[in-house]
Amino acid sequence: MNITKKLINNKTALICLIIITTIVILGILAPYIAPYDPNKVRIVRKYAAMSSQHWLGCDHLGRDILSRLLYGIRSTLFLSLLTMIITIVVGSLIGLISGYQRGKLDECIMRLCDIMLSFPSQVMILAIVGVLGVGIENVIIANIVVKWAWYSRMIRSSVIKYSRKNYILFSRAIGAPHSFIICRHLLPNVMSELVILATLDTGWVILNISALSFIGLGVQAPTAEWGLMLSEAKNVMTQHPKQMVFPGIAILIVVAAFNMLGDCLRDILDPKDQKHE
Amino acid sequence: MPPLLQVENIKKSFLQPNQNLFSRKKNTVINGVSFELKQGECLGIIGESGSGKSTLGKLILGLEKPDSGNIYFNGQDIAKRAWKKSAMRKDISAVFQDYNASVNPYFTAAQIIAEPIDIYEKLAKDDRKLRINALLEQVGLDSSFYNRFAHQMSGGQLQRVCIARAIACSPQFILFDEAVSSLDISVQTQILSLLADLQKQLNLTSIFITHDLTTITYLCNKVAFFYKGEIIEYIDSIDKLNQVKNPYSIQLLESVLGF
Repeated sequence: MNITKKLINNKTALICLIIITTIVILGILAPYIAPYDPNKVRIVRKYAAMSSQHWLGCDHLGRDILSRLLYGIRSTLFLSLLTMIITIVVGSLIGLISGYQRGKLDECIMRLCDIMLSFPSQVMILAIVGVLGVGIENVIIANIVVKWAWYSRMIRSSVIKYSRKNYILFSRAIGAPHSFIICRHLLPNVMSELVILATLDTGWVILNISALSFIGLGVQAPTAEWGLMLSEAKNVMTQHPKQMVFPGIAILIVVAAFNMLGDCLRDILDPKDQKHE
Repeated sequence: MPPLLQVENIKKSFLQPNQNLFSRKKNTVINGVSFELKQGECLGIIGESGSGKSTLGKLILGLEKPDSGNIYFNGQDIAKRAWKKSAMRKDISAVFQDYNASVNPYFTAAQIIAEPIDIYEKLAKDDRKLRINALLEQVGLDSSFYNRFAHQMSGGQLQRVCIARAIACSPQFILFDEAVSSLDISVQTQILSLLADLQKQLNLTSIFITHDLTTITYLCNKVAFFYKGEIIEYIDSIDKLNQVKNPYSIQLLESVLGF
């Protein structure tokens, strides 16, 4: 299909994609392009203003903000993506089994999902982090535990929807193996819906990890992380309001880019649209 | 010679939708249907919408399990585990009504047709291509369709591709569930004559499920009148069509042929 072509024609999607790719590349190259060591404390440069040496200034310990932002991509974005990937794999696997097998197993899994979904997700995350202890690993675990049920639900319903299609009935009638039906028929169809869900949700996860780092439950100091940077800047909000600007903008741009890309992908991948070419 | 397909007193009911947690009311959809079909015969099952004829089709294909009764294909019970793994499953095939939903939108015509071939016969790349082109030709399409997607074909062309897929592994039995009903009249006649030709060439045994009597008179040599989950009248030769006795069948015939 010419999804790539449509992606290029859709300006918003293209811009979002370029922003995300650039940020990912910057994150990967952080050790080579960051002007300073992100954790090097130079107390003489405390709250230094923007200058040619420190483009975005320095924080309360005199650390270069630009370098910290670049290194922050690694913790903020990459940890969010890691969380997303694990959640999606676990969630869709369970959803696939549930929707494909139906019967008693499906019933059990869905009631379990109901239980998981009946708790407000933030409260659940706080509770899990509270039990397991503070730390980024536990925040990731909590996110997965809270989110898998949501994905399982979505994937299950679309698996059921596609299972009723005639081409899958045909495959079953001629005795095609389950692996064939799942890999060739179900996954490609479900995948397009999954991509949209995942893109829209990445923004949520980034915010969540940043928020938990902000309140001190996620990434721990001195690691550079955007939420944590915001949290440190918050202490001097009145005296040095500029400290909050850059990490705030960074989060805003990434989250907005993911959300808008998700919206565009929904339009692009809509199969009904493809018929009107 | 034993019958190819033997259906013995099958019954099927579904739970009524939108019930409360504890009630289990059921709708009977198929109520004791039996018939036999010998090699080379073509049975037309005719009935109005909602009479359960499509459910009967799904039961025969093994897509649903009957509540009671048995279905034998070549002497094997299709509800048994042994059947699920048997290589004989390639002898059963189907063509459905809604041609748009019958093919995966991500597949090209070649991939659609190749599905049964890839499952049952591992062919080398060149042989596979030759075979697909031969099948395309057999259903009246040329090799330019090889790489076309479903949305690049018309309804009639798509239904031809579905027929090619159905005959790809030379099955003994094909079920046609309203296979021509959603096509326009001129395309219908083309597809019907294609099916008549294929039936002669391949010595197919087939069941035609339809609400349209003209389709049946064109292709079938046996007719079953289906009404509210039961076969109310069975005619073993199409010539005896004017000798029907059941009031419902007479009414149906009159409405179509204008006796």
